[in-house]
Formats: sequence, structure tokens, C-alpha cells
Amino acid sequence: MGIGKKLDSTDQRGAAEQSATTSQTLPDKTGTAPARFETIKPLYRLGDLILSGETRSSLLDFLAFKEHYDKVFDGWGLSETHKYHRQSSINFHGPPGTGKTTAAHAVAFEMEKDLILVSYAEIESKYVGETSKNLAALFDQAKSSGAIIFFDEADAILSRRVTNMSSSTDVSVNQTRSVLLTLMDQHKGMVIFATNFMENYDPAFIRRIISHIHFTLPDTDARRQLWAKFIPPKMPVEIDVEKLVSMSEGLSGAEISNCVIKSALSASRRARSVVGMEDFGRAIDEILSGKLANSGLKQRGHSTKERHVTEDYVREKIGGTSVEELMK
Amino acid sequence: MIPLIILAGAAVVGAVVLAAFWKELRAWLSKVWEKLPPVVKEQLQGAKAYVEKVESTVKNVFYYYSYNKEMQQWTETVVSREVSPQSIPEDILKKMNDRTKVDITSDVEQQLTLAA
Repeated sequence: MGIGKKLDSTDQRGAAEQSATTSQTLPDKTGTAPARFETIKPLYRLGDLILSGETRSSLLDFLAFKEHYDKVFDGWGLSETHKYHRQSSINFHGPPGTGKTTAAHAVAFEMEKDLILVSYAEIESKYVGETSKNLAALFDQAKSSGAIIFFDEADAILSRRVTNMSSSTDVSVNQTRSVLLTLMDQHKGMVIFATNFMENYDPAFIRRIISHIHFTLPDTDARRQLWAKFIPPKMPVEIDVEKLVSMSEGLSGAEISNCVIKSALSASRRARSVVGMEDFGRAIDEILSGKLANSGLKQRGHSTKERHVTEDYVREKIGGTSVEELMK
Repeated sequence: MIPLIILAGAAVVGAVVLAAFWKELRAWLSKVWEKLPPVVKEQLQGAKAYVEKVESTVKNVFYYYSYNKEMQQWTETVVSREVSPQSIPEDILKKMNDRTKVDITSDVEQQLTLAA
């Protein structure tokens, strides 16, 4: 979900800026020079994102919140009482293909900032102390350029610290986490994390991240928009869109995109003049059965769904006792 | 609400012979429990069980409620599977005549207690 058309160069904040990808030097693995990270212009904007209602609403809330940041920190004195909380980190979590990376680009675009894309491989070094140095270099680069840091697959670097250290690797892991915590506390810019496995995060990072946005699988309306987006007007189709919307429950935006490609190729290979429901149905079934097998719960008619709910809702469902005990 | 200790206990093989419906349900619950994301199991606060009629199909549906203290966030995880209407016990079927959703939480709790 959330995969939209990439911005044309004319859509960007100037064609010259578009071509200005900077700081291409990758981390030096020899331990002799600090790492440099790739800075890019955002490729997507908010309008390109197709998200479920709740996810979109959370994202808009965050962007609105950012607009008022300077006012409350500088004008209302929060910079005095929260001097180490000036940075704003946001975390996108949810299943693969639900638009987390696209959303990171969109947030950067809305805030008129560049993005520094960071993967664990670029940070990690086999040399003792180099990983921490690379992290420091990353935050320095973000500070000087004003760019937003984007950690994709962030669970690799935000995972829990080791409580019972038994090897030098454990010590190194803990050292890296501690350095990152300190850098986050000192950083005044924005950091975006994205992960499919938020349960692996160290609680210390969770506390420092000001907003956690759950990217859900697309709801009915989002699936309708996704099919409309991904089926090109020129593609000859004979389809019942509402049926496709219904059949594709449980698929992510990226998977719906794949379905369109698979169906088109399948129809073309069979020398059909149009792509029909049979082609789409086969593609959807193939992806859904793959997901089911991957979940370890392969059984016809079986489904698993997850959503955030309110305390009142839970109280109504399971009674107040456990809720009261938990809140003590 | 099903006590958590009993839910976890569903994963333990019991010696008591259950009626086919309950035996199958328990085996399924055991499998679901194994596959539930660790974060849901660790933060689980309660669960409810239903038999639901959805158009022409009948489903066993389990609702798991977990609470993340760090994020102060409740999550509802719903796991369901289609079952044959013929496999549903008579007393539950009767209740389904005038509603689409029958709460079987206490029945499941009783069956799991017997089998644990």
C-alpha cells in the first residue's frame, strides 16, 4: 500500500535540486575515515499515498503536530523544561508492503527536507568502536544538512540490549544502542524509523520516539483506490472492481500491485485480448496462499486480523477487572 | 473471559476424550497459540470465543486482547476459521437461530479446563 507514482522532476523543489544527490561515499570499512551517507530528495508526496483511514489520520496528526512544534517549544517554553526532547522521532510499524517507506518520503516532502537513507549494513563495522563512530557521523551529517534520517528495517539497530553480556559482541551491541540513545537525545532534527518487527525494539527507544504509527493492511476503500491506481487506463480489462476489492482482503498495497502485473503477464502469455477476472483471481489466490503458508497456519477459511482498539472497547468485551488491575 | 493460564494450557496435550467439535477446536487453538506473535502472547490480557454465522458460512472466532504498556495501546487480534455447520453442537446451533454470533467463551474455558 502507499506506492504511488514517483514525482516528476518538475514536481520537485527545483530540477537542479532533484539531480543533487549528495554525499555518496559509503561507510569506510577499514576504520580509517568516518562514514558518509546518501542524501536524497523525497520521491513521493502525501497525495501519492493510499492508506487505510486510521493510518492516514495518524500521519496527518503527526504532520499537524510538527507544524506547531516551534510554537510550543520556543513560544511556550517547552525548550526549557524538555531540553533533551527537542528532536522528534517517529516510528512506522506494520506488515511489509503497507507504505512505510513511501510515507517516509512523503513526510520529508511535506516538511521540505531531504532524506538520509540508512541501513544497518552501512552503520555496522567489524572494527570495535567504528559502528558508534559511523552513528555519530550520521547525526553530524543530518545536523549540518538539516536532512531527516530514515532508518529502514530499524529493528536491526533498535533491538533490545543484552542484559547478560557474555561476549565482546554483546558488549559491542549494547555500546551501539547506548550511543544511539545519546545521539537521539542530543539531536534536534527528525528521525524516522520503519520496521515490520516492532516487538523487537528496546523499550528505551520506544520511550524516545514521540509517535508510533501503525501501517495496517488496506481497508475496503483503500483497496478500491489501489486497484484503480495500479490498473492502467490503457490496459484492456473485463473486471468487476467491487469483486476484486472483496477478493483482495488481506493483501498489502505492494501485493495488489504485484497482482496487476501477474494478471497482465498471464493474460498476455495466453494470447488473450483482455485481462479478465480469471487472471486476477489466479494471481490473488497465488499470493494469498503464499502468505498463508508463510504464516504457518495453512488452512482453508482461516484468517488473522489485528487492529488497535480503545480501553473502553476492551472493557466492554472482557470486563473491567483486568483493565483495572493493569492500570494500577 | 478465559484465564490466561488455561489459554496457554491449551497447548498441552490432554488425556480426556472430548466431543469431536471441542477436540478439533482445542487442537486448532493450540496451533493458533503456537503461531500467535510473541508480542501478543506476552501482553495478553484476555480472550473471547465465538461461533459466528457469516452469510452461508459458520466460523470459530477467537478475539485476543493485548496491552502494550510502553505505548499504552490495546490491540485486538482476531483469528477465525470456517467450520462445517454439521460439526457445531446442537445447543450452540439452537442459539444461532435467532442471532449471528454466539459467545462460547465459558464453554471453551470449561473444555480447556477439563483437558488441561
